[in-house]
Amino acid sequence: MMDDRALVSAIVGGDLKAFKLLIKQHERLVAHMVSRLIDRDEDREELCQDVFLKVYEKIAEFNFQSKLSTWIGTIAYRQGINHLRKKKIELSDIAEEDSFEARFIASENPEEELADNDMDEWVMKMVDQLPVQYKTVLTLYHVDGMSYPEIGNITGMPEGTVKNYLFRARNLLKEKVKKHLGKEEML
Amino acid sequence: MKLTDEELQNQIEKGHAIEGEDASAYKKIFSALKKEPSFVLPASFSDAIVKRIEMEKPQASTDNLWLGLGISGFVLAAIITIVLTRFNPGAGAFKFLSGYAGLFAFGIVFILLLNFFDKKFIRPLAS
Repeated sequence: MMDDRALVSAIVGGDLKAFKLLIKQHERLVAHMVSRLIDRDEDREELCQDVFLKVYEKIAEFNFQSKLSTWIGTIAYRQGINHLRKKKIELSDIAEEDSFEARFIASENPEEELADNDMDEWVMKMVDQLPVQYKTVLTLYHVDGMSYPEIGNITGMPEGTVKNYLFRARNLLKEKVKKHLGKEEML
Repeated sequence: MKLTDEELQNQIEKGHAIEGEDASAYKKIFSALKKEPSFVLPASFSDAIVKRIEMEKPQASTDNLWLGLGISGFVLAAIITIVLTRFNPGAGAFKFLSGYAGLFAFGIVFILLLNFFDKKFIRPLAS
């Protein structure tokens, strides 16, 4: 297997087979990040393509100061955020609002009832309702197994903020699950 | 002793067996979060990107050709103009500007350096 330096140098030299290998190695990470940020499958695939085209365009500037996966993750995160901005989807500050947490726990969504036979699916529906920053941190940590500093590099958040968002997101989900289970017991 | 939420999250993440309503809720959450999102890219995804790159390549070389032609045309037009008008850089406004040759040289060097630093250090940080 090619190491990152050899792979990058081959791509810079114009080897498209090497670039295909890079895509294969990192498409899972990009798909995870994009699927958490974007709702529609068509938009997701297009955005994933844009991410890798950006990677190809910028690969000569990659200076190995971080892992290649972290650098690609950063591009995916920025492209995702830009996409949300273009679509005028509410992005930030929600996580800073105390009122959001109360609203999130109290909210009743008809979809919550539809999926309650599958707890995992239900939890993921709740994750989708969280602010972008929470969703991203949860996915990178739990699905992609990234460390706090790596997530910090990708999202541009300080390590303490990453830890805090991860804690708060899981805490919010716990309150929601407890409420949901309590309601089920009453039925 | 009742554990705080932070302690609970840490213990459950380490796989410790803890009982209670909060612990049970956290276990369900940790189990769900580990699952991969259902969205998967098609098997032909990398082929599609490589195809797009190959399609864009000729466009880039055409752009460079036009840029080269444009610069050559500009230089040619300048030479023809200088010859036809018997342009004298030591006359008129140019005579006045020639007093600031150092300033012009500084301006050009400054712009070139600015572009160099932008390309070398600023853009890689932003990408």
